[in-house]
Amino acid sequence: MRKLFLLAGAAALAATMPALAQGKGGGQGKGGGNPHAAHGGGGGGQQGRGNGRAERGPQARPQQAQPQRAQRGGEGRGGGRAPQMREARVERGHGNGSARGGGQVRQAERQVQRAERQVQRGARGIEQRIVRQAERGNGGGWATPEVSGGRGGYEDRLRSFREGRMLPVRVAGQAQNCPPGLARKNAFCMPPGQLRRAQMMGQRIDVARYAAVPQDWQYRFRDDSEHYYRYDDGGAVYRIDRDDNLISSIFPLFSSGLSIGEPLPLGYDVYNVPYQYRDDYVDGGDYLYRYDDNAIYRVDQESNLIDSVVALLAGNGLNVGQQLPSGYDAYNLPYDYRDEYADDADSMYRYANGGIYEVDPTTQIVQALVEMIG
Amino acid sequence: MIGRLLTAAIAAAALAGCQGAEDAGNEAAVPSNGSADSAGGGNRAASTIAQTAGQTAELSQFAQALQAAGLAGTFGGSIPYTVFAPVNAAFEAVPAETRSGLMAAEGRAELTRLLTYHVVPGVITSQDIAAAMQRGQGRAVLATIAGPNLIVTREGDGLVVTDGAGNRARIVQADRRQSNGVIHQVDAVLMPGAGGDAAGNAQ
Repeated sequence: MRKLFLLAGAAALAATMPALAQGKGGGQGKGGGNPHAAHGGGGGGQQGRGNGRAERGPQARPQQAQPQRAQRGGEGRGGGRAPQMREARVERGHGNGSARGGGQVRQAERQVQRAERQVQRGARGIEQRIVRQAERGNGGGWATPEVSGGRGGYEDRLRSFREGRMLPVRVAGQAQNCPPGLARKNAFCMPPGQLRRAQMMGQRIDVARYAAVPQDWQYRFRDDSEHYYRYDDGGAVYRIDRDDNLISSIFPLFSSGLSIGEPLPLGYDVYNVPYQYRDDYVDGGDYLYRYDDNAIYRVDQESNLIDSVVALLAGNGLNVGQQLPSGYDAYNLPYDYRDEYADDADSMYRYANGGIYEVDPTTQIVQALVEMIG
Repeated sequence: MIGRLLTAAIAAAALAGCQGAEDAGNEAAVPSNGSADSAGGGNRAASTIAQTAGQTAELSQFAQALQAAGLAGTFGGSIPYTVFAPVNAAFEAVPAETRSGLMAAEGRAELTRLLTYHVVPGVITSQDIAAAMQRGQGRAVLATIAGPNLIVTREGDGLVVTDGAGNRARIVQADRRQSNGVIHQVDAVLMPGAGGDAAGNAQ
């Protein structure tokens, strides 16, 4: 029975992990996919987000992972724990079969238990990631670099990240229980190293004590006449002013979502503000704007720190063809549009995420997006 | 930790707020202030929600909370919102320890969730709410930016907002028209319930 469980668990991990990895595919930047799609909102306004969810929804469902497993199984990515579990199962078999003493049997039992715990942890992690993906739709934007050559710890960490073991997990609403190895920070669970990262801003550091930027990132972070760039073991690059050795900017290499007071992760390099808000929030001058998780964040370009939320979007919004969701009982159009779009016997109008939608009063079906107003 | 404290504290605060309003007398009619925040005649308002909150003495704590959450810019732009803004007395009913926890950097996510539960997309006036209640058998369900719904019902001549935890806040000043939406002042802090909203929908 235990063997069956292990086999099933290992299979589930192997099956689902690549699916999850592929779910992030656009954001991983392999082959230069559409960067807007990788970042969710950039897909194009209300309808773009709707499409994004529709495309990604199936990937978040475990039963859809099967074809992807068949397609990607040969790569072996994402199934990293499966070999360990198979090994443990085999060792247990040897222990029982050869009867080489209780100690070895107990050791084998412990290995099996450890493997079981791994399966359980993996399943929990998958479940949480599925929740996160379903919540975020196509808004993840997990841009991960290509890696060439072996670099020991760095590559191991990158592999761990790709396999999901280092992924910060956003659980519905807020992180209540973080998976092992991740600490709670605001709404996220994230690697402990990231907790202190924002606090490094403005600190004076000994440049010689920090590693050079990994080669994969040197195209982006190269020492110049004003700055050094150094790599922090927690997965970030510091920009250090040559004059005073103070850290003046931080670039996390791995995304953990956006949060006020935190540096903008590298995965959000690309402007991704939904179309209807692009006139209002344009990159340039002192600020950048980035969309994540139903909010548009403002980023101080000099420090790379997120300093505020400039727009909040309704989570579910409205989509043409769908039943008007709960919560849109009241007419809610902005003042300037009330004369033009007034509720009557034939039509109702509702506002969501920059769009005015026409709704059939009888069927309560959203009939059309009649105007985008930002 | 903050979340647990907040749940208990805000439940008490909401109840206290509601009670206070009832004690204050059942004049109950929702004072409407559609023109007080308008400028230049006509129907145009000159101030944004953020500006008005910052300039209104009884909303000073709400304005501070928006600042602490990094949301002041959100309500200083052109995107339209309806804000149920708790007055200072509502915030003061929350235990000081909880308030300071929310206003600290570590409490920002919790504070953001709390504040966005007071915000509905678009512009909804008390007249719009009344029309929706007429269609909805006496209640209007409003989807908040935070996700969970609020329910608005009529009590006497006034309007009462019920949150996901079952707490009620009375609208004490309605229809403060702004350039980017409308402010309704409420006498209690609203709290999303665990696992559901005021309309009974699972989250």
